[in-house]
Amino acid sequence: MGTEIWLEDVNKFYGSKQALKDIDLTIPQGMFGLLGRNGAGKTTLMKVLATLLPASSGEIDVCGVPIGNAGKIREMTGYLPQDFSMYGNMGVYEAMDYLGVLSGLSKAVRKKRIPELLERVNLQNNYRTKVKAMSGGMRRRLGIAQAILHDPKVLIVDEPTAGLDPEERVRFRNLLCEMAEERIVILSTHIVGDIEATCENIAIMDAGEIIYKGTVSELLSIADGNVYTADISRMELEKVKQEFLVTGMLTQGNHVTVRFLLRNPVQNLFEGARECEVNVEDAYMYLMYRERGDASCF
Amino acid sequence: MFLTLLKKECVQYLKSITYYIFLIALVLNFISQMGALEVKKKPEPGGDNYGQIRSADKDLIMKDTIDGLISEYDRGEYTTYPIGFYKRVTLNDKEQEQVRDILLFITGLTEQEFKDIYERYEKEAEQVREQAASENRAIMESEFPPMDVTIREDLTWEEFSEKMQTLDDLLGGGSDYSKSNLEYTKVPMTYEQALDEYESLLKDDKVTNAYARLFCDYMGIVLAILPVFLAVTRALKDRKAQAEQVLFMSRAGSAKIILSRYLAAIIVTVVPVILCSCSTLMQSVYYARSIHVEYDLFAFIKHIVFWLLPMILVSLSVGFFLTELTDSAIAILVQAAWWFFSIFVTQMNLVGSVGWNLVPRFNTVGSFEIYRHMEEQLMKNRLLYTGIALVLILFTVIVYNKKRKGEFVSVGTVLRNRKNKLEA
Repeated sequence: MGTEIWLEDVNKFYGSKQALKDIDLTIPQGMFGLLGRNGAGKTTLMKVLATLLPASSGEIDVCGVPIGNAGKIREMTGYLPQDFSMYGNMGVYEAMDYLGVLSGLSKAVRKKRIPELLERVNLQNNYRTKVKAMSGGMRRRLGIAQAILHDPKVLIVDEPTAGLDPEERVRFRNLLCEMAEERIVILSTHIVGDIEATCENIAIMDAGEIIYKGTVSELLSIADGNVYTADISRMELEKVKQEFLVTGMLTQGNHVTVRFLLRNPVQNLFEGARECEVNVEDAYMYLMYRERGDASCF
Repeated sequence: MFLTLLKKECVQYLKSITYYIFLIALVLNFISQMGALEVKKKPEPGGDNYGQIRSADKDLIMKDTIDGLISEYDRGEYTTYPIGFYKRVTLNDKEQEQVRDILLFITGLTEQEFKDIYERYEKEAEQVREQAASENRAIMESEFPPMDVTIREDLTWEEFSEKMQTLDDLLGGGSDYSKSNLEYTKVPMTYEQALDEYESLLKDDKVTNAYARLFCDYMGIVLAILPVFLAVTRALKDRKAQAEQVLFMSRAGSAKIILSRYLAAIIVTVVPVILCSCSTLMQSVYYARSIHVEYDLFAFIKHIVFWLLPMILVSLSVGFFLTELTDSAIAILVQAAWWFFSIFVTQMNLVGSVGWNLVPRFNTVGSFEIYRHMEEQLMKNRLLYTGIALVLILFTVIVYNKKRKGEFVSVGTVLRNRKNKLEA
């Protein structure tokens, strides 16, 4: 049995609207990030991989199993949807036990695995806490625990950190990295920081298409030499915004420290502008501009 | 593993507020309708009233109907049930004249003869009213003197029923005079008939079976509608809790998920019904023992399984199927309409009306002969509904399985998405 997921020429239509366009992708073991803005088609792709939506055309193979074999795929896949929750009147342990029964786990296995997993996601003191009384972060942690309850080879997590506070977000990312040591973890997100902190292999989606696939360091190299910073006066800000692609600014009194991308590699720079180290956000923005010519987000 | 899931599903129902509302409605219905057992006593010769019996004697039906019509004509008010609910109809002078013409046609009297008889009757009736007023008490219907009219000898049943249908149309429908209701006319029982009825209650029904039928009649009224609420609440729970996708992804087959919910709903519905029946069973067994006759300890459980269970199955299946199909609570409206129709069409014959109705009626203790005649149809009826329930639950499994694979989008979801798009 294989240890990777591959997709070939995958398309998905909702009526006449095309949500996925000719997706070709190979996802190896470990953390894999799927980045893109809202509406890019990430959730559709996640659902197709989780057998919750059928692809309109193309071929998908999950660890050696064709996607048409939904039963087998579900046996080896854990899924944490974007808006995960469970019955509000269930306690944490009870919810896990219920889902464990649905996963076909025996009583002995459930008794052993559920406490282990709840401890791993730091919910060991919340066995009786009702789902409706849990915070967003606790709910996501319960979500990840239920997703790996049957020890799947593939874990699909859709926008897991949206709405979490910074501490919860860091904790959750670390948890995902731990999970990825022994399986394929596909992390779909529109938050660049999540990818930067966790993934080596990524794909970037826009309007249903994959516009980039490769490693994070390869992505960074695309924008290499195109990211600058400068200290300017407030009066000059408007002019800089018109000429360059501003990705950040920090105002201090009458002065502004701007971070910007070149619109093209041969663009003339102004005095005081200095090249700086590229981060994933810069590279992502540069790529979006280069591929789509879209400067509306700057 | 299925049993573990079934147990967990039962617990889900027991944690739901809807279930406790269901229980309260069920128990209140039981207490208010059955309550303490009404014991049938052996009839004594020379009694005033032995109750009524359905008659097939057309002369008797005509006589009984005309007596009732004269009484209503006298009051100028008529009782009807046009859509199943009581309605008092008051006719104007012109319409009253039309009723009088019908009475003249049926009795064969001239206008003058009818006027004389009517005036004589009014005089005597007035005396009864004055007497009651002087004693400051209400008047019983039986105190009024009979109006001395007879049906003309050459009147055929066809002529009679045609005139009665005209009268029913004049009253707006749903009166005792409609063609269908004339067939259910009841006449007073004789002592011999009452004694036969009593003997049959002891021998044929072994007491307990007669009370089990009455129990099923009363409980059937609520069990044809209440279970749909449990099914709809359970089927909508996944979406409401945003747990739908996680459950869709589980390894369990669609049949296992749906059937565990369905069977759990059946169990939590049937158990309280059985518990309620125990009270009536014990009372009827005590009654049978007190008069030293045989009784059937399994009478109630048999009737619950054969009479009430198919109704429960159908109500739940409609709930599960339509909710999975539409992701809405429309099943409640559909089941309520079906229930209302069934109750409505049987309202004029509360003892022994079966046909293909969802809610068979047998609102009496005894009348084994009527039950014997309807038993075969009742069996066919219950088999049909069990079949419908099983087909619907099979379709529910198919729809649920398609939803899990994203191959089916419910009407409710499509409408919600369209609404969201318009709002955005």
